[in-house]
Order: sequence, then C-alpha cells, then structure tokens
Amino acid sequence: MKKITTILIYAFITIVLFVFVFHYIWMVLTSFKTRLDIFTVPPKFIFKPYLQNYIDVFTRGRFLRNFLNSAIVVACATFISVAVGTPAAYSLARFELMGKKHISMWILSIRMMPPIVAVIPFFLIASKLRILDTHGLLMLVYMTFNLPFVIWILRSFFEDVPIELEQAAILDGYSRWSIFTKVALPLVKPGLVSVTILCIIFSWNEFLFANVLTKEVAQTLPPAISVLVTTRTVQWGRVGALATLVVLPIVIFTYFIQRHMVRGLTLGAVKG
Amino acid sequence: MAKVVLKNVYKSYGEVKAIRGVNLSCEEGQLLALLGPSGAGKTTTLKLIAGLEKCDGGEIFLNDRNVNEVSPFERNVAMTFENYALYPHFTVFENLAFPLRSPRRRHIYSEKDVRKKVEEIATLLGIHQLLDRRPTQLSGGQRQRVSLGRMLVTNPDVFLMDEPIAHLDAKLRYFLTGEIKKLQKRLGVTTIYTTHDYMEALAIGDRVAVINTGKVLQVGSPDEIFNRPNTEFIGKLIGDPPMNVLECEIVKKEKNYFLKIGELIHPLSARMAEKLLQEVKDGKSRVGIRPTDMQVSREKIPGYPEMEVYVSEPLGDKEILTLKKGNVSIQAKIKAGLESKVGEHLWVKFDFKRLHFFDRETGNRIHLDVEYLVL
Repeated sequence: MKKITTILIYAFITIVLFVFVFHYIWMVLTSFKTRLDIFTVPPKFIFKPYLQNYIDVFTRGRFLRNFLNSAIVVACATFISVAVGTPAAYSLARFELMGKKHISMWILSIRMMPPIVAVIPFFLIASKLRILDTHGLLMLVYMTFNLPFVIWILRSFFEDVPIELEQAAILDGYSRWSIFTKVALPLVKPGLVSVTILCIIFSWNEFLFANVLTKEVAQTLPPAISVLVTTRTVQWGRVGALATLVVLPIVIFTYFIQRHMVRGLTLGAVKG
Repeated sequence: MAKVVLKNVYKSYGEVKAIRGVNLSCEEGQLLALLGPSGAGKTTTLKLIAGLEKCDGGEIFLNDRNVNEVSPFERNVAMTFENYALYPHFTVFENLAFPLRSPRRRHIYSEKDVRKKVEEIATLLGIHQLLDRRPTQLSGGQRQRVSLGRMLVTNPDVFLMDEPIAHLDAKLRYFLTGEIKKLQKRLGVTTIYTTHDYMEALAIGDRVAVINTGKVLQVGSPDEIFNRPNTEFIGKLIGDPPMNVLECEIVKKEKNYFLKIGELIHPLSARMAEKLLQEVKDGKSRVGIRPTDMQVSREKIPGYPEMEVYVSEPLGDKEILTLKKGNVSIQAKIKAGLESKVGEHLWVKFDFKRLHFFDRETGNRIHLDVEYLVL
C-alpha cells in the first residue's frame, strides 16, 4: 500500500514537473535546431546542434545593447526600490503614524492594480513629458510595482523582530537611525535578500511596459524577442536562442542564491 | 544608587488601561519585587520607569527628580527583558560591549576599556568562556546571565528586571534567585524585579508589591504579604495549593461561637467572633484558611468537625488532602505519614490565629487585630 502511494506521488511529481519544465526544454531545443528541424513532425529530440541561431542573435540583432539596457534598468530599479522601501517598511512596522492602516492599504492597492490598466496613462504622460524610450521611465515604472512589494514583505519581517531588542538599544543611548542600521537591518537580512531577488526577477522578465514604453534607446531584452515575431514570418530559431539567453542569467542567479531565498521566505521569525 | 518613586501613574494602550493609578516607592539599594499574574501591568510599570513608554498621567521620580520628560538614556537605568533580548547577530562579547559602544558612551570608553569592562563582568557572572559564542549557541541559563551582564556593564543607578528567570527550569530558577539576590546586595543597586511566582517574590524581595489589573493591591515585607494579605485575591495568589476561601457565618449556640461553613461547623474563640461581629453585622463573611494552617488527625478531636478524604496526593515529605463535608471542599497540606485513604473520615482543626476574613462584597481583608494574640 505504502509502495503504491509512493509510486503515485512520484508519478504526480513527474507530470507536474513535465508541465512546468517542458516549454523550457522546447525553447532550448528549438534554439539549436535548423529551420527545417523545428517544423519536423514528429519533433526530433536527437539531432546535430545548429549554432547559427546564436551567431545571428549576437551579430544581426542588438543583443548587447538590449542586454545592457535590461541590466541598467533592473539594477537601478531594484536598488532604489529596496533602498527606499526598507526604511518605509520599518516606519510602518514601528511607528504610530496617522492613518497608518490607510497608507498601508493604499500601498498594497497599487500592487493590486493590473499593469495593463496603467500602461496607457503611463504612455500618455510619458509622451507629454517627452521621456518615452528612456531608461529613467522604465525604472520609474518598475519601482511603482516593486516598492509596494518591498514595503509589504519587509514590514512583516521588521514586525517579527522583537521590540525588546530595540528597546534595549534605546536604553543604551542609541539613536533611531543607529538602531535601524545596527539592530533591525541585520536581523531582516533574509527578507532583504528575498525581496531583492524577487524584484530583479520581476523587472528582468517584464514585457508589457518595456514593449509599450521603449523602442530603441532603452529597449530591454523581453520586447527584443517579440521583434522577431513579424507579420510575415516568425524566426523560431532565433526566438529560442534569444529567449534562452534572457532566461539564463536569472536561472544561474537563482540557482546560487536560492538557499538564501528559501530561508528568507520561511524564516520570517527572528527569535531572540 | 537611586530612589524610585511612582506617584499616581496612569498608562493606556488605546482602549486598554494597562496602569491605573500606581503608587510605588523603592528605597535606595532596596529590592522591590513586583508580583502579579500575567497582564497585571508589571512589564508596563518597568517600561514606564525606564522611559520606554510615556505615562499618560502621574509622575515618576528618580532620586526626587521628576523624570517624566527625561530620555531613557539619561535616566541611567538598565533593564533585562523577559525574552532576554540578546542580539542574535552579535557574539556574547559584542552583546555585552554594545551598551558601552553606544554613541552616547563611545567617548567615555575606549575599545581597551570596553574589553576590560566586558571581561570583568563576564568573570563576575562566570560566562568568560562563552564570549565568542552567539546567543543561539547558549542554554537558557547562559542567555539569562548574558542579559544580566548587559545590564551590569554600564553601572546603572537602577536595575529593572522583567521576569528574569521565569523561563528557566525549576532547579536553575532556585539557584539563580539566590545568585541574583546576592549580586544585588553586593552591588547595592536599587532593583525592581517582576515575577508571577509568589515564592520567587517572597524569596528575593526586601519588599513585595502585589499588582493586578494595573493597580497596586498591597506593598509590604514578604512576611506581611504572606501573613496579612490585604485582599482575597492576594491570599489566593500566594501559597500552593492556594488558600481555601469559603463563605462563612458566625453562629452562636448557647454561650459558644461557631464558624459555619456550609455543613461544616467549627468552634471559634469568643474574642475573635465578637470582634468579627463588630465589623460585619450579620456575621457573614468569607474565611480564608491556608492549607498548612490546620491540623488533620485520625483520632477524634472532640468538638471539631469530621471530614471525608476525597483525594489524597502524596508529595514525598508532604501530603495534600482534599477533604469534603457536604458541599464544602477544602485542601489541607500536612506532613506525610498519615497515609490516609480515600473515603476515610478525619478530624480537622483550624489554626484560629491564622484565619483570614474577607468582606463578601469587596474581598478586602477584615482587620481583626487579634490574629497574633494568644487566644
């Protein structure tokens, strides 16, 4: 009986895993296929790798430019979101503010708004301000969506830091700011790591805003893929290659940092 | 060294009235134990003295100086917290050095002074070998010592200890009560110590203040608190098993007075009965009898009531009996050796001098002033 249960569980896991991983496998396989192989039915799983797709990505598109744009926008948006969001989260966790509940709810409601709702207003405002297709605009948009997230996650982390730790420091003559940096901040490190990673992933993969608000100068990687899908043809080989290159940094990054992330997401409680 | 005085102090958290008019004083060098159940307002009282909370009304004096508007640091008090509040990301050394390295003290203590001071305190508390460890690697008792150390290291005028040993096992608690008392006497620092354990409070306090629902119910020496509890609540709070408190009535048959507790009729001295009747006209009140203040015997004690053994709990050198008569049930704590059996009938004689009477409505003690007299 126990054996059957185990088999069923593994069968279930295999199916779920297949569903989740299959399109990645498909993507990577496609990137190494010739145009002919891509459309072969039944699909080939064993074939001679074809590298022209990758060569094309590097030589015929603007891969490096787009990659750099992505890196700049993601790094700045994440850094500013975390740098601004952390003190905000601390304040909401520790101070008695007027209308604290409403402020929190308002911040969360920004996150609740579907991004598509904001696209057109953002586009119109940006075009009036003549800041379309700039890095700054994209950073601003990503911060709009990252900040509430940072604040809400970190607020609960700060709330889990026993208040007595800070009170002990108050008695010793520490200022609010030094308590924040010396006591509270080190204790929410797992939370900081988590929100940083999640902000990076969100901004790196973001397509909608990048597609609408940028064109050439500040275009990031995700919309660059869509350029390959034209009305006349879809260059699946290059789409696969480019998509693989977009996903790769995040996969590597997540692989190395996942230990901190799991700890960060489960270890909300800091026990004195 | 400092004298601590609280005058009519109030504190609310939103709707919750945590402290409702507390008056307290702790003389220089004295150890005042604040005793009360959880939620009584003990921690809030300490935080008010420390300045971590601001009082809504009333005044707090340290050495006759009103400190209501003085910052926590300038009050020069040190506090230990119930959860020890050690910094998990620092080593023991860094934890102990943290108060000395604060922006307000940095100019007084060089790094060399800090090291010297921390080592001195660590040696005093016997945690010298733990200095490089982190709090998570310490046992409960060791953490408690570190938290004491962090309090001692700054030479404060007042120690505030919030349930310092509540979370340790019984043996260690017993040991540390003595240790803390010795340390406090040696350093002579005014100390306010909270606990919910009456034995700890009686053992450690020069004076004990019983506090409940944000009010001080009684302040006195441990002896006073135990022998002359001001209210029924205090009587029940102190002692294990708790004091038996029962509805009673004074009745007179012929020339003799009796204490009638339900179906239990127990003789009472005329002096006591008359005194009580002066205080309570209808003779009805509540009587408090500590389980230790009675004699239980297998041989008949003429004139005294007979009760049935309902439960018998042997405790090695002691024995706790639950005795019944009709609806009346009382607990007695007697020396082991009686080997009573359930269902057996025993004779019970209360110690007159140690009976406590409380008002039926207010629960306040009815002072008879005859308790200590030889009857």
